[in-house]
Amino acid sequence: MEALDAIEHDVDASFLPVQSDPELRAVYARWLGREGAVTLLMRRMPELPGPERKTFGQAINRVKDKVEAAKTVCEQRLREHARALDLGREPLDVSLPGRKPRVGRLHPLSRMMYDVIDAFVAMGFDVAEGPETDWETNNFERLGFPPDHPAMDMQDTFFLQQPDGATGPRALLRTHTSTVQVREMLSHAPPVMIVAPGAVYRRDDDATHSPMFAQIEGLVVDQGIALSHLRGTLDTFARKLFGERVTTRMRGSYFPFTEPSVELDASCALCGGSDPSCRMCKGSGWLEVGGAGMVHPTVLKNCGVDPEKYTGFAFGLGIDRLAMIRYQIPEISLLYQNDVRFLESL
Amino acid sequence: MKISYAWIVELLQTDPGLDRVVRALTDGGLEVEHVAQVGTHLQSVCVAVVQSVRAHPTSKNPLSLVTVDLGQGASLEVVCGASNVPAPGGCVLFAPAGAHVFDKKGSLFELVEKPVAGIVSKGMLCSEIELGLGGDDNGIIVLDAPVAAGTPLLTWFSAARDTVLELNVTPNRPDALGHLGVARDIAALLDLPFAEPSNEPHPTREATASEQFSVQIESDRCPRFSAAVMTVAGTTRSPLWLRTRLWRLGVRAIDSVVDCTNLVMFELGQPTHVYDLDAIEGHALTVRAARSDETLQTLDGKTRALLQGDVVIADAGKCVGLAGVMGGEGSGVSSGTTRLLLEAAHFDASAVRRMAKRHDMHTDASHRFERGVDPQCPPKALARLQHWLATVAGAVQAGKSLDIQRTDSVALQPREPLVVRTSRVARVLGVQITPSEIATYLSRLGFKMLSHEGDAQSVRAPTHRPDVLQEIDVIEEIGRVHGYDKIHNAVLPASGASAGARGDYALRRATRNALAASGLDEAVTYSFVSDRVLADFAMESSVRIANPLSQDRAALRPSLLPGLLQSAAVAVRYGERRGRLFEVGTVFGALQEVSRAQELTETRANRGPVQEHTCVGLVMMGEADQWLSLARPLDLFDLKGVVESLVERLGRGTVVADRVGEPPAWAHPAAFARLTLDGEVLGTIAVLHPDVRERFEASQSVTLPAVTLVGELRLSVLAGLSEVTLKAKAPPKTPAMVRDVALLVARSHPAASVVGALREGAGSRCVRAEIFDRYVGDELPEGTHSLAISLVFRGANEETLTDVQVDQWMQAALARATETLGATQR
Ligand SMILES: [Zn+2]
Repeated sequence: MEALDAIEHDVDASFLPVQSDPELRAVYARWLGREGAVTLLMRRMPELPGPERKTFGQAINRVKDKVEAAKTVCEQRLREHARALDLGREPLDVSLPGRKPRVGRLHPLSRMMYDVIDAFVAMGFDVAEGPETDWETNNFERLGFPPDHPAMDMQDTFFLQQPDGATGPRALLRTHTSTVQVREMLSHAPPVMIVAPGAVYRRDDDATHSPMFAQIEGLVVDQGIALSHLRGTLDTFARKLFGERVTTRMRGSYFPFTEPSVELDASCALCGGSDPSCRMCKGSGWLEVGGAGMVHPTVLKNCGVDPEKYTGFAFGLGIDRLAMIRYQIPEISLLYQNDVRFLESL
Repeated sequence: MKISYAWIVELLQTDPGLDRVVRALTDGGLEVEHVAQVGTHLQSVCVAVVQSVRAHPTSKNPLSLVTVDLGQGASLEVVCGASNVPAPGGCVLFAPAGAHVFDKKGSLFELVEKPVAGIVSKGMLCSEIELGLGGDDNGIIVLDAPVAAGTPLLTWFSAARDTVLELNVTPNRPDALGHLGVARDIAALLDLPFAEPSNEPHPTREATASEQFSVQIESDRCPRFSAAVMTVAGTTRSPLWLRTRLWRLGVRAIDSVVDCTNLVMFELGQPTHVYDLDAIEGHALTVRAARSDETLQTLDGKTRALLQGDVVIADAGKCVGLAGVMGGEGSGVSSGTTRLLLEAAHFDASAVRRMAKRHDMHTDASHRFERGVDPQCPPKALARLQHWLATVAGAVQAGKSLDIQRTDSVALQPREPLVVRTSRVARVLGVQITPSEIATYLSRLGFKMLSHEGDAQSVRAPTHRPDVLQEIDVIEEIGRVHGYDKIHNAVLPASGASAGARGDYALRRATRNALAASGLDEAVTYSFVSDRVLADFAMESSVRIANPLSQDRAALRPSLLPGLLQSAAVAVRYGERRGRLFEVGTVFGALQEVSRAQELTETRANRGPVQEHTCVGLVMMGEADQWLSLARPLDLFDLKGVVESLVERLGRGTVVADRVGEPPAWAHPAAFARLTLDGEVLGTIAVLHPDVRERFEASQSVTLPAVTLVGELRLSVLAGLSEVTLKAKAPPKTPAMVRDVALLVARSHPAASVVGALREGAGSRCVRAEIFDRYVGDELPEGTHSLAISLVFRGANEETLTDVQVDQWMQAALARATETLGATQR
């Protein structure tokens, strides 16, 4: 019993010098381990006479509780100490670079094109496509280009080499995505409501012209479609693309396959027309969005659509020009060189 | 097309305001691309009267010192290099120091006082070029008649200040290729009164016998020919106002006769020509088809062999002009000419266009004729030319004017009436316009309103608008005059329909996004490539462009790789050491000849003349991207991983790499993989073949990084991958058990077969087996490597596996690998 009292007296002090988990385990084992002092005393309990055994047992349990409590206190102290050490350690140099998976970028033309497509798809347009090589029938004839007319000079064409003596229609690289108008109307009866993106080709090469460039064509054909719908559609589009404050204007123009033909301009989103040296609008206050018009009745007829029953509008936008404006690209050829240092800047 | 605003004001007899005019023209379809104020720099220039002239005392150059009276008692001595300084009393133009004048290159500079050969000149006497009033650099301007000394130039000659508008005239608007037509359009758009200018009666006398002439039209390409003879005392220099007017429109004045023809062309849009009557053999002109052996020396000094189909003007012995394109040398007017034969004719637009094209002569005349000049204009233009020649050159008409017409010509028939329906106008424009508004708009444009019955009005289009042929063309005119800004924004009725002409847009877009997410940059390259780079790749194109911009861009690409590698090489030349590029684009197969009937069938099937395929091109070069660990060169498995993750992003499928078949010429035979997706050939990935690499580096002057990986896939094979085919699996309720094993195995056995053997042996509870390490080292037996493979076991349904079971399956798996491949456990 005296031994137990001595133990009880020493328990708390024995945990005080503990500085680590192994030390904690050793001190704990000194009391309650297989050969621990309390364990040894417990083992001797059967030797005691009945009445004493009960008292001794209660005392043992009290000492055991005391050891456990002291252990818990010590554990808590160690944890707090360790946490304080962790929190106080040398901070990370967070300016070291992150381990970043390489970011690949879509080409500026793709990004511009997808923004444009998404704006029209949100208005209910579906996406149509046609081949990049086509025949003069679809590129010119069915679109009502007058043969042997200066209108043909507006689109200087790349023709494909054909065997000598070939008699069929001439094959060419399409000069506009308007070929898809023809293909779409020939494929099914109205209503038609599509945008047709894609590469087109013209024999032109300077700072603002590339022999290959990207266009998107729009076509809506149904009963009761008027020029006011064209204006409303392109106005909505311009606001989606350039911002809600943008306004649009429509002015007369000429394309062989639309009548009336118009150009659509959007007010300059950058300066609103207030900056005479604006880099976006060059001081005019307006940006050309694209050419458009009501589908010429001859074109409808050529594609098997009754122009008395149906009317429609079409428009064409140059994606390269839009991308050049948006990303301030000084020369169109940069878009096709794919210099990584250029691509990575966008 | 340059337009003088002062001339427009003259024709309108009122100044509507520059801004209003610019806005109206632009909105009405004649876009004003540029507005230039000219002559504003002439404010301090004034008339000076020569008082005395003496030679420069020291200069070796022929310089003179001219004392001029500048009015109000001021006089000054200026140094002058011109040889045409008039005698005392003559009037010249003086620019004081501080004024701005043009140099010989056409840029303005400020005059400063500076010594010329030792004598300080406080200004200069100016030539046309220096003042921007004409093209004459040969001496100073000398006024024709006396003007008070000191009179400001802009007071004496107000047209010296003007505004020049640059109009973008679309091919459908030949009427806008003359000032009169532009003025007419402005009047219609702004609702101003408009009348064509009238001619003063000019002096006329009877023709003498030697002034008789005849005209005969043999070609049906010439519906109308107006002609007359006038006499002059010889050609002269035109007055300054005419020289300035032409100069501002971009034409240099020549002599009074030629200047008048240009004036008429810029006014009416109708080209005219003047012959020296005495150079016309037999005084007889014939418009006829060219003969096969004929030549014509044109005014530009070139001798041209005429072709079948050309239309010429000829005299009794020779050709004197290519109809509607250019006159001939030798029959034109020269300084000694006294008898003029005037021509104002109409020529068929497409005939002129063909001649101009094949003789490569784009002239002011052909530009107008091929767009369609008013066929009723020739007599009017002739009268106008006579008016100007009488006014400017003092010409007198001898005899009567001729107006010969081919009565059978379609161009000269009265135009068919067109019916325009009020309801149709509303349907097309989306705005209600009343019948009377329609009539007003069209009348302003020169249309004749013939009748009005219910919805329909019958109208006749004016002859100067050859582009108006149908009701829809009339509607466009109504819309233009009404104003497109008055057409409101209408919301589309919901009428969407699925596209009929379908392509692979969605798949291309998803593929691009997936590859960019794998760290590759997208490239967009030209569809045409050079034969040289194709040869580097041992490729040939099946389709060529008949009229390429250059031979470097003559072949349509049979593969994306040559162009893509060229793009990747651009930055490498500037020291870039890594390259990660992809392109999703079209490659071109063979051209298929079709008849017209087949063409329609092919079009309906949304096919074109050439087999087109969408391909995916891949280039990876240099080192792998990493940080704080050892630099590692890329290897083929980096590229293979890109393809695998592409497939995983698009849907699910098994990409199998093998070495079956002949590799493409660009693929390293020991480092290429044929990729199949669920049994279909997807494409090839490879280390660039050293031969191809060597040729490419030589032809492109570039050294590629040590490791250059390339690959090309057929997009259509990926089309089957779809989110739609995916099926969810509930997460298993029992834990997986994992066993790792290292196997020593001959390198001749593909790693995939080792994994395959293990899985076969391990049975159905083995749900996954993956290689996680590979070791090659000298201490291993020759030709072997060690593969560390992890096998994952999982019970079916809720079955819990025991260690004993899994150990048994592992034994079986190892036994199979040993048995079939001789693998041993390490
Ligand atoms: Zn702006």
